[in-house]
Amino acid sequence: MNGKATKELMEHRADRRACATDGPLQSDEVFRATLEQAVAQGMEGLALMDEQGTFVYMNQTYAAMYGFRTSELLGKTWQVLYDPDQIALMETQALAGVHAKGHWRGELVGRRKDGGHFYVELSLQRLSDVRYAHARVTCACRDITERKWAEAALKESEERYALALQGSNDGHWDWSMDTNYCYFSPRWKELLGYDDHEMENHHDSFLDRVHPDDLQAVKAAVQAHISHRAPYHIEMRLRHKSGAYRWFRTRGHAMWNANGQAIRMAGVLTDITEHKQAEERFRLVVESAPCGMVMADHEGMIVLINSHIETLFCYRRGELIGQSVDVLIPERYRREYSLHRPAGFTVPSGHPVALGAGRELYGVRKDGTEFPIEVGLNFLTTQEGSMVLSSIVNITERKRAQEAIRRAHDELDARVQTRTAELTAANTALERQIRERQCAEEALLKSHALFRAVAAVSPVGIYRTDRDGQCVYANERWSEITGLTLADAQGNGWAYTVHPDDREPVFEKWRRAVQGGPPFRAEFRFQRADGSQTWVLGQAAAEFDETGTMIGFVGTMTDISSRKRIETIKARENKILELIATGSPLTMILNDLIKAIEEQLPGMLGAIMLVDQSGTRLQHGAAPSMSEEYCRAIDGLPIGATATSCGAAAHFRHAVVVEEIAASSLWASHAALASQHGLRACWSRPIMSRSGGVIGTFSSYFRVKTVPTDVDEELLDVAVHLAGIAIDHAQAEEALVRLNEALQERAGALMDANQELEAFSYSVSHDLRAPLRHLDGFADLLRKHAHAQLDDKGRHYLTTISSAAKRMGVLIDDLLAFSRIGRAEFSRRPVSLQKLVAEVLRDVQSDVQGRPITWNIGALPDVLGDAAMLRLVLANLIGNAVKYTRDCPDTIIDIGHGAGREDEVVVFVRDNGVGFDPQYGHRLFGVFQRLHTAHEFEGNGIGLANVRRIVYRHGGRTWADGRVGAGATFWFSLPRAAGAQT
Amino acid sequence: MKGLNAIVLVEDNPYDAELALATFTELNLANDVIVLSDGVEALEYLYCRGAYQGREGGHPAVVLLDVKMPKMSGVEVLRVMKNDEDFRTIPVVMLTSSREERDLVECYRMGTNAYVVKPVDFQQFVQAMKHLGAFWALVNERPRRSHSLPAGHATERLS
Repeated sequence: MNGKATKELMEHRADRRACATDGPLQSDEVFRATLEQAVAQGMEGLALMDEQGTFVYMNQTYAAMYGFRTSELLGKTWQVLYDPDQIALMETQALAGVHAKGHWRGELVGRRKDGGHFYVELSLQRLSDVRYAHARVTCACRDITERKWAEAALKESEERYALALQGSNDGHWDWSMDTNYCYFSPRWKELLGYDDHEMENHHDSFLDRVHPDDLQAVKAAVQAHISHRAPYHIEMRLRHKSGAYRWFRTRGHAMWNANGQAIRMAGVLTDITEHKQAEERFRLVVESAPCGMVMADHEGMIVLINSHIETLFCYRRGELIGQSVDVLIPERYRREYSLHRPAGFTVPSGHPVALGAGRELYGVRKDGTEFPIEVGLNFLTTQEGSMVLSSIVNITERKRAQEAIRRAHDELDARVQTRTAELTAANTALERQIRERQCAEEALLKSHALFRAVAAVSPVGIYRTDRDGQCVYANERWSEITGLTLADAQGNGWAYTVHPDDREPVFEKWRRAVQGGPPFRAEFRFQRADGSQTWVLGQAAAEFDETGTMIGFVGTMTDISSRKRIETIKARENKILELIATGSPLTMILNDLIKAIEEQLPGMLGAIMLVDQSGTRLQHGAAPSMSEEYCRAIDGLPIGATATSCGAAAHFRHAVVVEEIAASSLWASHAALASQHGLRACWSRPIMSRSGGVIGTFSSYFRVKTVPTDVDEELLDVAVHLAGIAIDHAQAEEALVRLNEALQERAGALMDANQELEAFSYSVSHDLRAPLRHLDGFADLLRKHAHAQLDDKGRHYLTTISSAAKRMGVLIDDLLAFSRIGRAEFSRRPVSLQKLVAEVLRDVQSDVQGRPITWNIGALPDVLGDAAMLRLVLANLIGNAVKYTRDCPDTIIDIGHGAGREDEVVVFVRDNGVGFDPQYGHRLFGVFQRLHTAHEFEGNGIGLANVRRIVYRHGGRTWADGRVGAGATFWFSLPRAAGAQT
Repeated sequence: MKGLNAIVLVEDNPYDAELALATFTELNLANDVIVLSDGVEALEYLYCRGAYQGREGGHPAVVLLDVKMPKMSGVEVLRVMKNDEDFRTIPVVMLTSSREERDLVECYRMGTNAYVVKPVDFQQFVQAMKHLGAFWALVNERPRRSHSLPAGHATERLS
């Protein structure tokens, strides 16, 4: 039991009472426990720490031990009391122990407030009572420096003794630092080649002999030991008495006084030259190894590397020595591999182990970059313990090479595959080509066969030429058309049979086609050896082989003679139609037509027969190429079912083809006649008029047995059609002539009648007037001559005779005028009624002097007619209007036009005069018809008759409305002038 | 100076002739009035042939020609006269009952110097004859001898 501590505790308890607020320390139990611990441990210093290591209580002994006062430490953490190395120990061992087991006990080096150090024994205990939230650890301590010194002294003497006992091997030294006196044992001196007396026991004797290169390290090691208690364990070179330096290892230990000051240091010296040399040899071996070498001790610390490692990992040697070999491999591999502790291996010493064999292993450079390595491990057992020597090879290049090889391999592989594929494809293509070629050849063979087959039966001529246009082939049809054999046609042979008129254009077209111009196409004639001509349409196109090379021309030759025949006939058709139109004689037209057909139908003899007026017989029409005798013989042939082809065709109204006259029943009666004239075949067609009646027949005779081709039919269609037109036309013309004659006859009769009438009028004019004149003349002479003898009555009689004669003269004049109107020359021109009315009004002005007349003249149209006559009409009507209104106070005369038929103009003249009784209206326009007496209104009754006659001559009408005393309206119509001819 | 040339009236109708003569008488014309009954006679007179061979009196002052006459019409006589150099300058007046336009046109075409329609009214007839006689026999002047003058143109001398 430590009384002092107890006392302090008690004091503190009093303090605590005074400071009752110090929460964590309120429990007596804590104090009791603390006290008990302190007492139990025999400790003097006592402190309480909370969870964070902060002092929450301490006694003065505790604080004083570290050179502080309690107030300076309370609230601080324990770390202020130790150097870093001791803090680390405290954390890793002491506190970890408390945490794990609840308590810890051990020694540490404490640091005083003044920087001095002392050995301290610590006892830590965890407080488990949760009520004391802040106080978690009790810490009791005691200064054990003196005890340590004592122990050290004891140990030193024991060591020195031990060393002495060891005898020869190591030298012993003991350096008193304050005086620099240093005891060197004889063996120490002997190791350097000196006798005991030959060397002064002074520390300088040692320093003087240290190799200059090592001196600094030695001094640093001493300093590190005395200040940080780092182990003093160093190798250096010392100068031997011989002047040579030898390798030594020295180990020593210092002793510190209570103030933490090192006062003495002692140790041993070992000659390691041999070892060093061996080591050097080993180092050289390692250094000279062709690969990187790393040697690590049993803890994995690098002890040796060669320059390859420096190069490989980009570290300087000094940076790696003492480091774990693990720095050389990437972190991610460290768990799995180690350069000193291969996983899963029980290491048989002396047997190298390849690390990473079969797997990828990487090294990591100082800069963090990685590279592939291969590692071999050697496990050595040395004096210093088991070592691992690793040989490390950078296999980047190898990898790269391998990669390159692999790639090259892959490439090669790919190329081989590609090439193989190409070859396969080429092969396939070749096979296909071969197949195609075979097919093509087969097709060509077929095509040749087909061509020959087609060419043989082709309706068109087919030929081929070489590139220069020289004929090399022609089918049979070609020969038929041209009349040339292939031999004849070969080369340019064909050209000589082209019709001379066609040669130039055909050769030009052919030449241009051969020279690459437009494909050959021409219509031309072949002049056959027999003199006949063949119209052909020749066409040719360039022919190419499968490579696209032009190898010649292939062409066709079509016989277009038929078409040409039709075309020729069509051309002739126009000429014949022209003949018809110009009124050429029918026989001439029909002859021309037959000749045209005969030209196109070689060997044919044409004959046209006409149906006579009775409609029962056929009479000769035209047959320019047939004998007159034959024509005469069949003239008058009856129309009937068995009356030769001609009679039958007219009878049946359709074409009758007799291929062989001798064999035809139709010809029974005339076969001998035909045979006599060498006629063997006859085709007949009815010629129809436009109205559908049969008007004739067209017969084609042949001296050979034959039937018509389609083209022949077509030709004959044209011929029959034309013949129909011609005959129709001729007959129509004849009818017209007859009609004309009849008309002329009638016209003559009319003219005669007219002339008679004229003569009558003439004689009336002369002969009837003369007696009247004589009557009046002689009456007058009598009046003069017998004036004296005559009484009034006698004179009245004479006057009556005279006036009757005069009256008769007027009537005759009027009648003659009326007659003249009927016969007078009559023109039909556009006439402006408006203008005529104006003229007439001017003329009547003198008659109406002083009479108030309201004229309402409407717009009047133009008409077609004779201006002078129409003027007479208007003068009559207007004159009448004026005359018959003369007793009206307000005369109103309207002139205008009204509605009539579309093609006529209706004009009226209306007055408000005396009017007339409509009952007699129809008599108004009669000659010498009057509704008023001469006493009422003078007049002869010829005016309106003239009006009617003139209007009638114009093709118009006249009529009138009126009532007695209510005026009258006279109407007349005239043809409208629209579209008038001049 | 010899006596006035005669007035020749060619008229087939004796009534007409008589009336005409009565009229001329009434006019107191100094000229002889020779009445010929048709065209043939008129030409004989003019050419001094036939009954008139060796007649006296030379060319008439005026010939009044009825148009319609037997044998030879007035129009034919006119044609002969106007086609003959000798007679061309003799004034011819056509007298007619006819109002036929074609007669009138025809006569003027032939070169007549006047064309007069004989009115039925005798007074008018008398007036017409007076004017004719006065004009052609007294007023009208013509070449002494025949020249190649255009036919049918009367020249008027103001007295």
